[in-house]
Amino acid sequence: MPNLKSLRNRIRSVGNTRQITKAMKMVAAAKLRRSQERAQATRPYSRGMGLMIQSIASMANEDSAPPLLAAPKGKRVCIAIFTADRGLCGSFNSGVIRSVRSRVVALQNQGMDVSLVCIGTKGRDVLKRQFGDLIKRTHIGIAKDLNYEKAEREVSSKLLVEFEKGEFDVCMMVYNEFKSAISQELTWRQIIPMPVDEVKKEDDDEEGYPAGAPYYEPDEADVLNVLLPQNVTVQVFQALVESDASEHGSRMTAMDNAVRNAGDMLNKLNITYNRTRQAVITTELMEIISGSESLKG
Amino acid sequence: MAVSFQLDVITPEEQMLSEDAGFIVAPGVDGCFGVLPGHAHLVTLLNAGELSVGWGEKPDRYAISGGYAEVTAERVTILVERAVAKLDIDPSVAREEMAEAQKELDKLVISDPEWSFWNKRLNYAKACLEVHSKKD
Repeated sequence: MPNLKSLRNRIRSVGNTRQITKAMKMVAAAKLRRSQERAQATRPYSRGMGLMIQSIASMANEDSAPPLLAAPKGKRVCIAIFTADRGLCGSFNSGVIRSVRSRVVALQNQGMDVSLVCIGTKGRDVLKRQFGDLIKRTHIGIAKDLNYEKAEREVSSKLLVEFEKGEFDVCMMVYNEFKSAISQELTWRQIIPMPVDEVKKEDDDEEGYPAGAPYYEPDEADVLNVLLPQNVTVQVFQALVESDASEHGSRMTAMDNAVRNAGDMLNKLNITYNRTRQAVITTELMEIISGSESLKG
Repeated sequence: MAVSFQLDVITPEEQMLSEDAGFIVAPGVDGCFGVLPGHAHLVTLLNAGELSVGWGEKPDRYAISGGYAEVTAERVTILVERAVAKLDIDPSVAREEMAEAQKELDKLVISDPEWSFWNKRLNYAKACLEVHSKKD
């Protein structure tokens, strides 16, 4: 039976933990609302951009397609990994990392040359043990004060420059897509070059789209050349906001569970504490009574 | 013939406008162009500048950064990085932004990846000031 002092200490510390997790849950919930709105606000733009590109791309012919649209020629793959900068958000980071690990190994078995770009410190911290030499760079603190310009300047423009220099042939990104506060979906998406299948598939969904080629100003190739890099930025930005919203959602759920667990634990500890205290009192009473009985006799 | 078309002005951070419009004038790269309902299908790049949207004599004015527009007979979709209504423009902020961008640009060469970033900022700030100075 543990002694009373150590039980009191335990109870106090579990109580503190509950306070902290409760506070974190509140903070996550408040941030979630903002992030969620932003994630939803980004979707129309990226959808509009996708539609515009597909209407042009479906008409571009395969041979003259710009590099950002053409089928990849080499075997070098760059993976952009979107994780959080902080932990305590359930399986948010570990889900991404697990998936990256198995994908990297699978790609290497196919003879691909893989490099990694980590967005968020948590991904880097874990992956550097296994794939330390593959990590090209890490972006830290992007999710803070996130806006479109920042995403462009710090992440996508660098990817595009590297692609132009020929440092990789394919770029994929992996992030948690925001579904609802309690569910996120791990998503893999190829952003460079833009996958043509996806382009064509979306084409069928569109209703009432005018048939025939539109006029282009200045001309088709110029429009496409500006549109495609922009699309990479949009996709990166969207991944960032989705990932940010997912992080807060995931943290909120994780902290909610933690608060509940701490509450259960407190109940159990209180029961043990009271029982122990009662046992101590009983023992003391017995000692006093037996003492006074022996004096009488 | 329809008298209006659906106009969407979308930035990465919000859906700025989604409404019926009778005409718009947008700053295309090859010069401003006007759109009335039933326009031919057109995809164009946009410069930073003034977007006017309206029904009659007094259009609503917006400043937009560079982007794209897709025009069909019933619909105009404008995708730009930034957009602001004339009333919401703060000229002192725009002037500051312009000065900052100009200072950065003077330090850079055109091949620098940062150059296009600051150039976009400069053009957007100029567009804001230009729209703000228009009298209605």
